[in-house]
Amino acid sequence: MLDAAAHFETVHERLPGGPEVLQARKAALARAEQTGLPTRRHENWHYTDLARLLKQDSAKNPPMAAHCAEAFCAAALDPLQMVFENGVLVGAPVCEQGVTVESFANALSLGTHAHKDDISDHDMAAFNFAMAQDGVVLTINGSPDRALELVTRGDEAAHLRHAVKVESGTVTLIENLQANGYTNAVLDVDVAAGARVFLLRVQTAGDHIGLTRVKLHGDGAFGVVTFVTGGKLARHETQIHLHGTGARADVHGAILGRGTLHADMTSHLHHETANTDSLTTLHAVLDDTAQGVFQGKVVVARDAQHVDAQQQSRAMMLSEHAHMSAKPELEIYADDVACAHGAALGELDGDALFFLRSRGIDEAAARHMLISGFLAAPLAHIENEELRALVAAHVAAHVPGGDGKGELANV
Amino acid sequence: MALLEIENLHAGVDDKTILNGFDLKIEAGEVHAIMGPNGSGKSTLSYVLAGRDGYTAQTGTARFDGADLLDMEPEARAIAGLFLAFQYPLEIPGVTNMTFLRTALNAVRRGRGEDEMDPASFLRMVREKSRAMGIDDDMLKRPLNVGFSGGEKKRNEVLQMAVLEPRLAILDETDSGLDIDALQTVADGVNAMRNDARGMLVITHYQRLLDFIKPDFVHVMVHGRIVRSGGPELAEELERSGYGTYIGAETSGQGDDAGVAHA
Ligand SMILES: Nc1ncnc2c1ncn2[C@@H]1O[C@H](COP(=O)(O)OP(=O)(O)O)[C@@H](O)[C@H]1O
Ligand SMILES: [Mg+2]
Repeated sequence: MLDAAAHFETVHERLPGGPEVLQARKAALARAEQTGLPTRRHENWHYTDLARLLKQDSAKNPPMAAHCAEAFCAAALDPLQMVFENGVLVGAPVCEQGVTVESFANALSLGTHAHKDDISDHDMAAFNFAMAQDGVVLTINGSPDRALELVTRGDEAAHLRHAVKVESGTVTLIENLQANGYTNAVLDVDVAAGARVFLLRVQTAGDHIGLTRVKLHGDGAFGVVTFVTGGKLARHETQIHLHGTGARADVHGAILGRGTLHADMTSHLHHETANTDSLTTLHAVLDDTAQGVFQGKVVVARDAQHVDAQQQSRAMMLSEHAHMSAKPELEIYADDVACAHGAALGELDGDALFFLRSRGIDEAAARHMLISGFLAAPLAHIENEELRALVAAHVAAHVPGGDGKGELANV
Repeated sequence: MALLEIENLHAGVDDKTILNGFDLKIEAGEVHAIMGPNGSGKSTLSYVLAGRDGYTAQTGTARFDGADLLDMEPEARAIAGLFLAFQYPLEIPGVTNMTFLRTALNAVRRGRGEDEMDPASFLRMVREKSRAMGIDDDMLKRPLNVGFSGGEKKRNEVLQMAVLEPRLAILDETDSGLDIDALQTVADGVNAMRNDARGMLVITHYQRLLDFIKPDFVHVMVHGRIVRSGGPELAEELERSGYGTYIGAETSGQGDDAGVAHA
């Protein structure tokens, strides 16, 4: 995989799409090669080193153990599930009132989703299109009763490309990332005027390089809450264009980092028009030698007045060998805006720990309580109560020292 | 056997000695008050007894029902029946008051070899005790002490005491920052818990609290030790004369703290 072109030669015959798609793939690959696959010299990739991943040969990782105890399990909600195993959609897409589902591979082969080479695709996104095996093309009209869940699993390198168009209504998406291997995924979301999209993303395993690109039209709302509770490498980049007035974006991340996990939450909020709001937060709990990254950028265009954009990164360091990098950035070209950013880093509060222990709560349980309490903030952004309870239970089980029976408040 | 027996305790923070030969004996059923100027070591005493990190004893002993208190983890002291109402209660984001109370009560019950309380009985009990303290459902659902006023935090401390039913309660300036109505509520809550089996140590800077919680014994603490002990009349005497007579010439610089202030 180090030599992307050589790798492409070996696999392109197996990739979906006709000659035109192949041409588009080649163009994308050429562009990816021209800019070079990202290294830490690229500003956007300053904190996350892909070298290890891009060198990784296709040797198989140990077999996965994707049971619900370890991975996040949304089954209790009976979501409309689409499972991608080693980069390929398993089974036929399911039906639901108001939802049109098509596999990306099919759409490419049939030409119904003729992917034109898109020069806005840069580095990993261009590479992603060149290599894309499958994904889902979703069109949503009205508010489906069930959440739509994309499950990613398997052990092999996978390149997924999803396109979601929400024409009206309110929809809940779940990205359940439990693949052990390396996944490169691009998710494009178009939110029509007045539509509302909530995305819950939980990564419990593997190496995941994800890019989510959202376009928000007037009064449209997009909220994403990403929990990284396991895996080796997590890169979740969110680019949001607040294109129509009244649009609102919420980008929240939570990292429960143990071992050598490296988790990078990168966001770009482009306030292109007036009266648009955004809130970007990260809560990172970092133990062992885990590394957390918050790279947040807010751009407010000229004449985009009355914009409210806030960014906040908070880290709780449980080990002196853990590391957090926070780089919130504001680029403001309008004058009547309320924008702020902040970054806080601290340890578990010893006084609070003593307070809890003085009430009879043993040290491990008290620590669990304080860490869980710290993560109550991102959980609170999950509006759906059942979904919030599922994530809370998953998080409680993964809090350092957690026995899985821990209780999270405010759930 | 005394409920609490402290003998010749020297203790402090890091290398600094703050308690200088402190002695105190509390029997079950007794209410003791410790009064003293700011900085005399009252909170330090409470932290040493509750087992806060960094507050260590150099010499001397503290026995709780015969057991070596200083050798126990903070949670073990709570399970044994010690309770400290903090002068400055901590804020715990993300943990609701209710979850905290239930976790604490069940931890203490488990530690005492008792069964956990079932959720319905717990809810009923907490509601009843909260009402007595003027704490509404909303305050129970909010994160512990976050955004609570000073008075709400203090009332919440007394609620915790009522829920945990300790054998010895140490109240560290539970009166500070309270208006007269809140003071009455807090005192009622404390008085309702007085019984033959329970001891109390009421720490205060002002005599005012002792009009509401009548102590059996009053001690004056200066420079980390008790310099005088007496009955309730001692509190009244202090109110008239202040701490001045107890503070040596070497501390005249602390004049601000020497008087017993009035509400
Ligand atoms: N954590 C600490 N570190 C250093 N000095 C302390 C600490 N806590 C208390 N002290 C000192 O110990 C003395 C007694 O303080 P404290 O116990 O709070 O008194 P009181 O509660 O009677 O006002 C004071 O001189 C105070 O500055
Ligand atoms: Mg004090």
